[in-house]
Parts: sequence; structure tokens; C-alpha cells
Amino acid sequence: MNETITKSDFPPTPSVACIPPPATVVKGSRVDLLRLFRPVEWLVRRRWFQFAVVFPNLVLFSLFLMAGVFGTPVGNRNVIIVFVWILWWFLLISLLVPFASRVWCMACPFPFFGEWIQRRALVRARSFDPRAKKDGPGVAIGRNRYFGKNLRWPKSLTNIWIQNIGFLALCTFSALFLTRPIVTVAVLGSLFLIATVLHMIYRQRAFCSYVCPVSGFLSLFSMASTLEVRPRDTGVCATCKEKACLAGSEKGWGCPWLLYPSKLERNNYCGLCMECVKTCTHDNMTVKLRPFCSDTTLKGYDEAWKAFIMLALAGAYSILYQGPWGSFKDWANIAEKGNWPGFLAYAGALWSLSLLLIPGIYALAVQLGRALARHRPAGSDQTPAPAFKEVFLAFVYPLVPLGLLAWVTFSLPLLLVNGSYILMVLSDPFGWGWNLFGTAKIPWTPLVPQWGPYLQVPLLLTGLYYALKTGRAQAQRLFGDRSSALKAFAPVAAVLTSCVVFFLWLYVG
Amino acid sequence: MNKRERILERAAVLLTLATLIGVPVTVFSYQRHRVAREAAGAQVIELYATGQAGVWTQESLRAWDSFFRHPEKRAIRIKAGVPVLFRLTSVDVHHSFSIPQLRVPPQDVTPGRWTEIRLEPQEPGSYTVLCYTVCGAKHAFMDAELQFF
Amino acid sequence: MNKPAVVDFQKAQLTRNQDYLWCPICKIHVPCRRIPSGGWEVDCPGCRGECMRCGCYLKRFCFGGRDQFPPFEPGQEGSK
Repeated sequence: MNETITKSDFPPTPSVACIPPPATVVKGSRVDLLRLFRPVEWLVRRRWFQFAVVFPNLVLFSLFLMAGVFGTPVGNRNVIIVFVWILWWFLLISLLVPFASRVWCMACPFPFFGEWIQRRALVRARSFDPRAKKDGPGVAIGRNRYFGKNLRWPKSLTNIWIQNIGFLALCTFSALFLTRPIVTVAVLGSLFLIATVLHMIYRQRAFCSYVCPVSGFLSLFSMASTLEVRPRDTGVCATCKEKACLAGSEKGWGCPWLLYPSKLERNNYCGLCMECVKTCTHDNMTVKLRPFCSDTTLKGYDEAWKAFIMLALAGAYSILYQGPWGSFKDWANIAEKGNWPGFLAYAGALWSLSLLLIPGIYALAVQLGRALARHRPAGSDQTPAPAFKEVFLAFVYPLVPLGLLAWVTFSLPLLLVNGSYILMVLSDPFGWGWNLFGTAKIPWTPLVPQWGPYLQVPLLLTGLYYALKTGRAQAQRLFGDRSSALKAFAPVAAVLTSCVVFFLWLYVG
Repeated sequence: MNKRERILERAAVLLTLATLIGVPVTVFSYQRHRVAREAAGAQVIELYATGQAGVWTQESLRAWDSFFRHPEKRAIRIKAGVPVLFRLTSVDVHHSFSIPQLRVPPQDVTPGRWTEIRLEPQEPGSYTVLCYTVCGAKHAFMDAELQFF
Repeated sequence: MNKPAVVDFQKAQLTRNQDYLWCPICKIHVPCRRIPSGGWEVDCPGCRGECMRCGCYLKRFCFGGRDQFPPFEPGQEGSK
């Protein structure tokens, strides 16, 4: 820069909001929830809010780990199996993700110790004046100070491929950890340890953004969620000089998810930690209610493959865990059956279905659609068709609502059939013969399993509806005229419909 | 950091440390206290039934070691003249515990649940525990010797 | 780093005495301003808020710390 900048050129950073917030609660298709529910706004602005949300989960997590090590080896009598793989999973996929985006990440105990080490604080925010001559402890990132190495995540890995492969690898061995407490301890304990170590080495929530297998599918399905964290008025952000949401302030940390909240367009990587809501000096960040499937852009092949993996797993798990084919269960149950050829066949089928077969079929459908759309009558718009990648990513998006509803459909019978175990382990979490709440001796009681298909079919059809609706909208956006759009989308629509027909056949015969 | 922040920060740290220490201490203490209360002066004999090995064992088979431990059949030594509280559980399949010589009828031993059987003080001697529910290939050999001394 | 890389400011759509960074993704010059909090404001219109995925060079300056990074490779417009 050619001009000399002196200290007096910079006004003091305002510590209170200097621009009055807009009073609007409803704006377009968005409802400002923090304006609507003032007590909630008060709550999320407290520095102790996140600790208050995470702490109970930390208590539960330590209890679960203990139960997984010292409790009974019988899965359905051990709290770690029942609460994690039945209750938590069902709540996550059926309620939290569709209606509250990545709110689980707000409460997740995995990054607790790593973030404590990184920030050397559980509640307060460490900020500093970068104009001060004397440097302070730790590494400065924006206006906050962090401890540890604070290295940048390798650029080649700034995607979710690690999460994709990690999740697929875990799911290949799901028959083990879904039923054996100690294996669940090994998995969750390892993730906890990896999170802590990575927090000491890399910046902010690198583990959550790039490694955590749960984060992978949360990032995809949160696109369909009805909740988002966005600025109230982007005009305020445009004139903002502090950029506290990014750089932090004395009121809060800069976004730990390595995002720029004021510019955010998608839910994918926002963990709803509320730091931006706290730290924004203009009171301009908020939580909004929005329509289902509002984020419609996939940004890379890694996200597309995540959609394929989740769809494939929904199908595979339905066959494996809820189907009548005992041979497949035996193949997957490698620890007890020891049938290695069977296991390798199952694993091979799972991986090729997820990574090759479904993507391959999808790619063919997309290409066929593009070819059909290219044939336009003379005199009509002859603009070249969009590039393959653009169309491919746009048409993979419908797998988000479809995959989400497929997983909800799969998870529903888990709760209906196994839900009574929750009451049992509530009273006897370790399987040691306790009876804390008098429910330990409740017999296993499936909850209206005969209603299952009547609940599953509408869910699947809802998924198909949103898949077709969003797919058609994508086609219209890319191809312009209605005829080309329909032609382009038709093969993909056929694939989507076939998927749903397959699931319907699985569940209702 | 102002005073309020300092208090909050310290409270959070204390809560966290209290959790890490308090949860295991509470759990194990409660278990010890509960078993002692149930025993009411009787000697407690905990037996783990495993169909895979076909044994009734006093070796504690928890979640972390039940898959690689191979318990062997050993005599169960019990003090004579003192009431006994048997606490029985299975780590795999259903079993049924009975001591025919002492007129103890078959009692279900369910995976993940604990069955308690009280026995009056016995004279010194040797008795056999049998399994009365087909539990696997080693069911016929699933017995245990109780030695009252 | 101080060697002037641009001669025709008007052609390059730049303003004198204004610092810029070249966005390789959007292929534009993005104004780069020192902000009161001490960091650098680099507000590229192409930014979509996802620094964790962004392939854009500018993400490194969003938090400030522009001085910490090496200059652009030779041949890039707007480099300093």
C-alpha cells in the first residue's frame, strides 16, 4: 500500500451493536427465530451456552464409555449400544437433521477436550488487539488467540473424501460395533482421541470439518434442513469493518468451522455453535426457519459421492438388518461366523455399489438426459447445454432429500422394534442388575411393528416427491426452456423412481 | 477477563473435572453399595455363564474382555455355615441354573440380566450345578462343582 | 514484492493507493483493506462463505495476516 497507516486511523472497535437490528421476524420464506423467541436469543448469546449444551453430553459420553468397557457384553442390555445406535441415531436422522440441521454438532462432546486445549478456555473468548506492539501467547488468527500448532489443513484434503471413505469403512464393519459394546467404545473412543490430537495440531475444528464420519453425512443432509444460521441483513455485513464473525472479537471466537458466516450460502459445514451470533458486533447473525430443501447446490464430486454412499448404505442396511436373508447377515457378521469369503463378497458389493455402480448408473442417466436435451427443434434456443459436471452435481442433489427420507424409513423400525430396550437400560445402564427407575425388568415389547409399512411408505413417497421437485427445479435452472429441462431430467427421474420402488419392495413386498 | 468471566470459567473447569472423576467413582460406589445391601450379610458368589465355553465361571466377563477370555471349569469354593447369595448372569445365550442336590429348581439366567438366588447356610460338602436350558454344543458339559468348606 | 506489476491502472480496473489481491477463481482484482480490528478485509464477490473448502487464495487473508504469506507467483496481475 502506498499510504502510511497510523494507529489513529483506526477507530476503537465498537463493543456494542451500533446499528439497530431490523425488527422483521418474517422475511420472505424465512422466519427469524431469535427475534421470535427472545429467551432463546438471550440464551444463545451467553458465553456459557455452548458449555451448558455440551456438558450433559460429556457426562453421558463418559458413562457410555464406562458401560462399554465394564458393563455387560450383551448389546441390548448395555446403554452404549441402545442409547447410541437406537435412540441417538433415530433422533439424529429423523428429527435433528431434518428440522435442526447440524445442531448435534453444537452438543457433540468429541471436540470438547481438543477445543479446550486449543482455546485454553471453556467459556470465555480470548481476543486481543492486533495493533498492540507486544505479541501475546499462542497464535493469532483474526482477533483471537489459539494454542497448539494451528497448522492449516492440507489443501488437497479440503474436502470430505476422508469422511466418505471413513464412513464407508466403518459401515462395512457395522455388524460388529452395532452389537458389541467394546467395539463401539473402540470406535467412539478413537474418534474422541483423534479429535483431541487434531485440535492440537490443526486450526480450529479441522477434525469436525474434514475427518469426523458423522459430520460427513450431517453436512449432506443438513442441506435439506429447515433451520439455518445466516445474517439478518447482508447489507450490514457488506459495510461491516470488523468482520467479527470471521476474525472474532472480545465477545466471541471467529467461526471455528472455518467459514465466513456473513457470506454463507449453505448449511453444509455450519455446526450451529452460535459463535457468530455472539461475536457479531452488529447483532446481525441469527437462526432462521426456512423451507425444506432450501440449499440446492452441491459443490464437488466429494459431496456427490457422499449422496451415493448414503443411498447405497440405506439400501444395504435395510437388506442386512431388516431383511429375511440370513446368509447376508452371516457374511457381515465376520467376528462370529468367520466367513471371510462371504465377508469380502459383502464388503466388495457394498463398496462397489456405493462408489461405482450407483454413481455409474447416475452418470449414464445424466449423460442421456443431456443428450436428449440437446435435440431441440429448429428455431428454439440453441444455447449449448451446460457442462457435464454442472448437470451431474445439480442432478445428484435430489438424492439429498431422497437419501434422508430413506434413512428415516430405515431407522423407524429400529425404534419401533427395539425401543423398549431404551427403558430397560435407562434403569440398568451397565447390565449389572440395577433398577434405578423401575423399568429394568420390562420385557422386550415391539411398539406397533405392524404399523411400520404404513409409516414407511409415506416417508419414501415424500422423499421421492422432494427429489423429483428439486430435480425438476435444477433442470429448469440449467436448461432454461421447459421441454429441454424435462428431457434432461427424465432419465434421472426414472433412476430416482426406481430407487424408491426398490425400497418399497424391500419394506412392503 | 473480568470477575464474572473468571468465576464462570472456573466453574466450568471444576464441573468438567468433577465429571471425569465423579462419574466412575459414583458408578462403582453405587454398585458396591447395592450388592452389599442386597447381600444383607450373605456371601456373594457371582457366576458368569458362557455357552461358548460351556462353563459357569467366577471370572468376571465384562464387555472389554468377554470375547477373548477363555474361562476354564474350576470348582467354586464357598464357606459353609454362611448364607449365600448367588448372582448369575449370562454373557451370550439363555441358561438355566439348578443345584438338584440342594433342591434348587432351575432358574432362568438371561443374557444381560442378573438372577439372584439365596441359599441357606450349608454343611461342608460338594454339590453340582447343572444347566437346564440347551445353550449350545457344550450344554451337556456345562456343570460346576460347588465346594462348601 | 514492491515491484509495480501494473502500469495501466484504468485498464486493470484498479484504483491508485488501493491494495488488491488477485482472485484466481473469479479472475478479478479484489480490494484489500486494513480494517479497524487489525485484520485485512478481503471481500471477494465470488466468496460463498466456505473457507474450509475454498480453493481461492484469498481465504488466507480473510483473517488478516496478509504479511505472513509469500507474494504471488510471477505473472499474476495485482500481485505486490
